Amino acid sequence: MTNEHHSADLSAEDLRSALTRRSFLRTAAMTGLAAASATGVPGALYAQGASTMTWAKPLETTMLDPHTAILGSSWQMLHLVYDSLIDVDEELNPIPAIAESWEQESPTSYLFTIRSGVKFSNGADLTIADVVGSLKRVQDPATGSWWVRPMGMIDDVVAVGDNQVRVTLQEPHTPLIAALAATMCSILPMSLVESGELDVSKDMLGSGPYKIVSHEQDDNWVLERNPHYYQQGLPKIDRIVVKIVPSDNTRIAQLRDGSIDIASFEASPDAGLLLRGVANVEVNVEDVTNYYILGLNAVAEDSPFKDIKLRQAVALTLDRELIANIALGGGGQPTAVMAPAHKACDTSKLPLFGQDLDRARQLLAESGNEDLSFELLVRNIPADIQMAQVIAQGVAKIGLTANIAVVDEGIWVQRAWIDNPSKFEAMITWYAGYADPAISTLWWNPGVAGFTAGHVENNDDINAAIDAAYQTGGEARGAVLQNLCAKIDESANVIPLVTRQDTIAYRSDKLKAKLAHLEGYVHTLRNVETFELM
Amino acid sequence: MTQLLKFIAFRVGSALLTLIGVSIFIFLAIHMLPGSFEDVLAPRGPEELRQQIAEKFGLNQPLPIQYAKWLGSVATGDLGISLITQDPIVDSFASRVPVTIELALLATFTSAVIGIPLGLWSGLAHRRAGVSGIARVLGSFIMSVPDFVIASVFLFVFSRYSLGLTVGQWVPFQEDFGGHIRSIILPAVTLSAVGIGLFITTTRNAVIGILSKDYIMAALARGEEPREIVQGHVLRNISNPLVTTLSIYLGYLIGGAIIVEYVYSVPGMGRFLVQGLLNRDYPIVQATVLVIACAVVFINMTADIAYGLIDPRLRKG
Repeated sequence: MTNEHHSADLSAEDLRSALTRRSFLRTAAMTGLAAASATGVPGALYAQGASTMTWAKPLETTMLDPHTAILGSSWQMLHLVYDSLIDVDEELNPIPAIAESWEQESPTSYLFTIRSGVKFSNGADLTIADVVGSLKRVQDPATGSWWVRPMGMIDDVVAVGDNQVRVTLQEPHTPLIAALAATMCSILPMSLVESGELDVSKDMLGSGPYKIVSHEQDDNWVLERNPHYYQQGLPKIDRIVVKIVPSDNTRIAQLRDGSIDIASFEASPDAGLLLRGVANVEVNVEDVTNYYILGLNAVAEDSPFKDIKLRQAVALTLDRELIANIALGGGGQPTAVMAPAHKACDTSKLPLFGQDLDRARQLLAESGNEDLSFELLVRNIPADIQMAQVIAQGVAKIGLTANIAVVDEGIWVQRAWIDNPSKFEAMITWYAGYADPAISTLWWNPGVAGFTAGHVENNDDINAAIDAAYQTGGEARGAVLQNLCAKIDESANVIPLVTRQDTIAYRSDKLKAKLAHLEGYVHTLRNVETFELM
Repeated sequence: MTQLLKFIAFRVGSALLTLIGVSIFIFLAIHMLPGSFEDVLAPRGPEELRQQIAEKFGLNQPLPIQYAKWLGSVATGDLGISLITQDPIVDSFASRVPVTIELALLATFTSAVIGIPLGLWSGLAHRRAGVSGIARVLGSFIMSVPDFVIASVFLFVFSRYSLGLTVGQWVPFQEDFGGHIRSIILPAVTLSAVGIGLFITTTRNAVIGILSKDYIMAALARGEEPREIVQGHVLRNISNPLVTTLSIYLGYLIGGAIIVEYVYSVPGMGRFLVQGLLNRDYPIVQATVLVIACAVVFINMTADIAYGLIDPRLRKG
């Protein structure tokens, strides 16, 4: 006999009567009580009567000390709180900030006139001593700032009278002014820092348009306008609530239903596409100087890419237009080491820029690496993975196989930048391009950069060309930059691919925002002080 | 009674040993992951900066010493500080633990309220192909759709159309009760999907099994009413499989909460853990995993003890 045969058959009516209302209500009441006892996040994010803009961004701010901050996700917030001597305009040209003017006295000496009446958000005056102390702190080895070399080797920083500061360099350094516009050169309240009253790795206190009110880790920041901000009548919005929302889809949903005013999408290939046609949402795709790179390990003994001919063969398989169109959804421009916005490098004159499969096959044959398989290391980021796939298809055309290995941020950092020699054969990442075309070229000098020593070959020609690009100013600089661009291209060691564009979208029915169309410092909310809520 | 006390003492002792094992395992696992905290924080920084950071937080000390210090602090209730914010982790927990507990309770409640009656209904009427089939297909379907797919559909639908519920806008309970309810329903329903399927399937199978027992036939032969049979035999005998399902589901909720909190931007423990892991913020990961392990161990221990109370034969084991 089967179970079916033995089993009784009860109707739904029987069942309904068996489940009494009392037992249901008892369970419901207990659950409700438990839920009611649970508390939520403390503190109201939205102050009554204050105009509040809500910005959703994907990544948390992890480094608060502006002088040592390395990640763009931190700069985004630091820019709201701190000011530097210099800022940049729409075309990345230097403009006055805390310094109302400056003068190059000689190839190695600059005199900055400090704006009067600038105050920190606690009401204290920003003094000459704060400026001198801040610049010296960046240079102090004890600070551990990575911005020392991009800023230039400073011989001395001294106060001149009550409102001027003289910066003397050890050697001419053309990118100085652009470097001073970075958040790594923020002006800190040095008396508080030196006395230990302010630990800038824990708290933020600057002279920028906003000050920090509260922070819930990995969830939100609340900022309030700095009442002492030096620009009269600015900022126009009282409060900014910054929400950390990791999912692109969630930020898009929030924009769609209007629960946030503005959202940033870091290198998200699909964001622009997904936001197209969403009512009242304005999408701004920033032209940037940041760029993706394909790194080939020319240092590790077991790396096949110690062979320059193999590296050059790989470089010649790259179709940058295809990478931009397929992997990045049409975002990004093909670039050499100096992004197109810098107008410093003519890529048509570069020896390895552009796909040339015949030459690639020839170089591959000369290197004797036909049918080679190699690992292409990428982080678990959609854009990086998609680029890796396009690159893998490209090298396959000359018989090479790229095996894509996707790892988390920590593993990637360890293998790419910490281990020496680096534990990868090929990898993808990106560099910030800043406001001067020479600044990021420093990473091609492994002795200076440090973090590239495990995979970038030390090349005296390139090092000399970098030095020349840093030291040469005026009209002669154009040729020097083009020469550097060509040498880096020819080395095919770390190969620039396409620019890394950021997408920022906002509710045009709620917010009047003048966003930057060109950016080099990951200042996502540049001009935020002029934003207005409608 | 002595047997019951021994049984409980054994289960509590096992739970404590499990927790110590988990603490060692997670400590070693997170510290042995490539890419340390200082590397992830300052990947391109000078070596001196990374050394400074490691020294500041004692990350350059031998692992056994770091573990001993951490365990000593935990024993006194100090879960340490976040390496990033340098704020006490217990402060973050104060706001995050209740959020995840509330979410888990609501999801469990929803799962049980929907899943158990449907399973009962389907089991009791299992010879009626239509009723039984619907419940079985529904259970299998719900279980086979991943959380993030359900969440993505909800995200689109509820942000596209004004249907009263909100997505990605967590509102704390004490700020606005109505807003809070509107913000938690979708995450809770998403999280409950697997539970509903699990409860339907388990309850249905258990009911069918019970209905085939001789004592049911005997009860029918005695002329007992269907209602008496359900209350006296069926409901009582499905308790054990339901307790097992509940403990499995609660374990699942912890993993599910990570995805649901991520997608809906809910500030609970799941998101905290993932971010801690990505940032290699060791104390956050250690503390969060330990708290979660405590919860899982407690749930399992409670389930074990409940089995013992429900079925005295199990106490001997």
